[in-house]
Amino acid sequence: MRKRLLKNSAEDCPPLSFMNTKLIIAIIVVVGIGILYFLSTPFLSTPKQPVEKLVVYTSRDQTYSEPILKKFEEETGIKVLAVYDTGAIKTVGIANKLIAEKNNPQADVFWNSETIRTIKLKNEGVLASYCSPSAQDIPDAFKDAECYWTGFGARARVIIYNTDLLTRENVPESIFDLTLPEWRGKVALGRPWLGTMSTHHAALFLTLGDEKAKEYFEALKANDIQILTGNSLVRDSVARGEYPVGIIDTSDAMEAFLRGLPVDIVYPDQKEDEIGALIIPNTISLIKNGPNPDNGKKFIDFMLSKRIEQELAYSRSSQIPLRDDVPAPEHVKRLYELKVMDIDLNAVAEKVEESDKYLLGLFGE
Amino acid sequence: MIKKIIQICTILIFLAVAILPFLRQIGLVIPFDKEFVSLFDQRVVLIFTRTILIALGAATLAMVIGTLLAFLFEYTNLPFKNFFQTLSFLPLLIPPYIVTISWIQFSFPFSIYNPGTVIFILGLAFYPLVTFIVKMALRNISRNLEDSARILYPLKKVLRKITLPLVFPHILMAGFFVFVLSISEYGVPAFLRVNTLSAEIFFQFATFYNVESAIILSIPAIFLAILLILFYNFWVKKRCYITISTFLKKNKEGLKLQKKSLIFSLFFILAVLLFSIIIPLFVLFKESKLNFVGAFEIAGNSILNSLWLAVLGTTIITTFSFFLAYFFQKSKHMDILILLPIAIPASIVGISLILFWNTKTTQFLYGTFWMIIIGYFIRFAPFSTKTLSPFFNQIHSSVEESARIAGASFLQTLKKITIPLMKPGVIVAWFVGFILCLGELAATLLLSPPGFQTLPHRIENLMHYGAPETISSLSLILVFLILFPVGILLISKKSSKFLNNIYGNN
Repeated sequence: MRKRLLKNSAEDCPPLSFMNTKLIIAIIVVVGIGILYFLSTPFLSTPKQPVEKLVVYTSRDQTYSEPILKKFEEETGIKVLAVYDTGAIKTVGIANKLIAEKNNPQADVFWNSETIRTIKLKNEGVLASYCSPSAQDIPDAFKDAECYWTGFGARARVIIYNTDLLTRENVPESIFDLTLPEWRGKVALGRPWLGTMSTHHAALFLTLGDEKAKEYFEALKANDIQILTGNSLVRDSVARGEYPVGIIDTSDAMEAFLRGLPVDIVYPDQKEDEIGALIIPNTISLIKNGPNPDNGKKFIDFMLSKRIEQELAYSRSSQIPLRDDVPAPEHVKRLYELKVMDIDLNAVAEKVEESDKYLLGLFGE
Repeated sequence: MIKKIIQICTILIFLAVAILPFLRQIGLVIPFDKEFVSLFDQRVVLIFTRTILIALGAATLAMVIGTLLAFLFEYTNLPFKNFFQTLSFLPLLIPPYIVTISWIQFSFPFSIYNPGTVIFILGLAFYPLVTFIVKMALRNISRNLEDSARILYPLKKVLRKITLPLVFPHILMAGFFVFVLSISEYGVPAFLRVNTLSAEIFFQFATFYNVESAIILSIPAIFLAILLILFYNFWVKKRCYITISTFLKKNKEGLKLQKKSLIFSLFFILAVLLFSIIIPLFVLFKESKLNFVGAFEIAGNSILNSLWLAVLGTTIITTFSFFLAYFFQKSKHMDILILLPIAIPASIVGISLILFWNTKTTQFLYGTFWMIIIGYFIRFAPFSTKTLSPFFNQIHSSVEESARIAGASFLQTLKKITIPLMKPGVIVAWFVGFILCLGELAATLLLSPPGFQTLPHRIENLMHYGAPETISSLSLILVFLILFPVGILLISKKSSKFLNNIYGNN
């Protein structure tokens, strides 16, 4: 009786057409998910049979790192699973992921595009020591004494300028010239307490001493220096002609230069009695208790080989080889052609928190 | 019995998945030491105030634009209504920071680097949320109330005195969403060189590797969000919003726009569309140089990944939120719990989840895409639940009770009565969730298993590299791909029109 009542009421108002719509939507959604899932399965599923694999976390731009990871895959047959950091709008990033995963590490190797964060990870106990045979001829200044990390292919902090707005003679030769009145409001810089900016400025604190460094940054602020989000925005806005000069990494500047945009760079403070340009190498390190340590070591040997350093030099990001006998294109300056800032990277890593706090307070209102 | 079981399961799952990881993190920073005080110096207080003001501004702008549009679409004889409706939905599909970049490339005679521009861009980016939610709410109002008022008063007055107050909870809720989304927005203020709270929290992570300070910095925003919700509850719960009493759907009685107001309305819509979608799309087209094939080659996988992940995640979230809203719509204490995750910054969600799930025993889950779905769930289930609950408020309990008296079981009632009545709400919640999931970046980045990438992640990578053609092409591809589910929505709209006709003739 009850059932019949229900049935009748269902027939009275016709929910049937509604059910059909719902059915159609449900089918479309299910089929849609299914199709998408199967289309993307080859890219996502870990292979069924035990294949040798390697998990690499990298902060290097995917555009540059992916082809090199593919190359390693082809040469060794080891399947590389990568996690790429993002750059333009910085998110928390994989250095924090590595720290958070410390108790049950997922990664085998961390390929970092700079140095200070790697030293921080070493201090957090995330890294393992591995002295790669490929690293023997890399200068001691660019590798850890205990082999927790090894540097390769570097970038320099340089002045970028717009060639439509300035000729070479008019470009400041020193970062200290940027406090002069003629550059008022015309200099672009990434947020001074982030990424390579932070490394550069901690190095300045060490080289100049706290007092002079603070004077310099206050003078920059008084001279209305333009604080942008990061290096890539400095590059883009100088290339657009929004600002005539900026302070930037060679890797970012060269991308625009090689794309034919109206920019060029000047290595700052190159005279005899000046401080020189800061060099920041890529670093590679083995993760402590990673799942595939042997493949990790193979990958580190591969990455520290001369041919990879050469490849990085010839790529658009124009990494400066740390070894003098590695070939490089003409637009990439060699270390022996440069006056390099004389600085201990470990000391910079120690200084960085203090200088960042100061800079955040000064520029981050 | 079944009802009880489902109810208990719902709440247990929610607590375990969404609340526990974060509570553990909070537990780590309590007791607060002196760091707590020293973090909130004058500079941070200034930034906090600025962030709140920006978010309030963006929410107000979005509520005004969104509500006006919804009323124009639902009640007037505006020409090209369907076309405008589809267009006005699109701003949600372009990530706001990409819109910002297109504005930066546009040369203005004045400086755009100020908080005003941030409000403008965020308001224009999020108003479709308001339009969408309010439109569905308007559609759900029974015509009895309006009709009885119509006997005595002109439609304009009815709209002002009856209809607007009835949908006001929806408007406020949508405004609250915009407020919370604006607080957590990082890209737009960053590109416009305005320092906000989300950036400050990010610096604590990125510069100082200090999860604790980041959590402490985010606590005031969480409190504020909860406070706003309590006010909302206090204000809404005292009133009665029950408007659905029967299956009866109404035929819209069009408000005939006079020439003057027609021109004004068209001008308004065109201005909104121009700034929110036409100019950004135009810039994207120009920048993309139509390099779609190249873009697809570079990011094909991540597009597919993003799509199925968002569809799957949203479906799970919507289903779950349905029960959450259904069982706990009247409980004030649950409200606070449900909304607790809404204002947790995405990066803290990510880190808490890693710390919680990355153990040897849960490895089978941690190394998979399910982590991303859990991340989506925590971040967006509150949005979904709160989108649904005003719709539940429109249904009087007598509707279900009579079904139960007639002998239907709980599940039968759910299937035959509640779900059909809630259909508009479910559709809205699904789309809100879908858009939010599709654009998620900060938590996804931390939770992606190795070798897996979503589209926003890929776009970010390309932005750093500086490939404007590919970025613009990908954004356009994204917009077109999302039109696929929008197409489904249009189908369902047609069918509901068809239904209206049937009921209308009866």
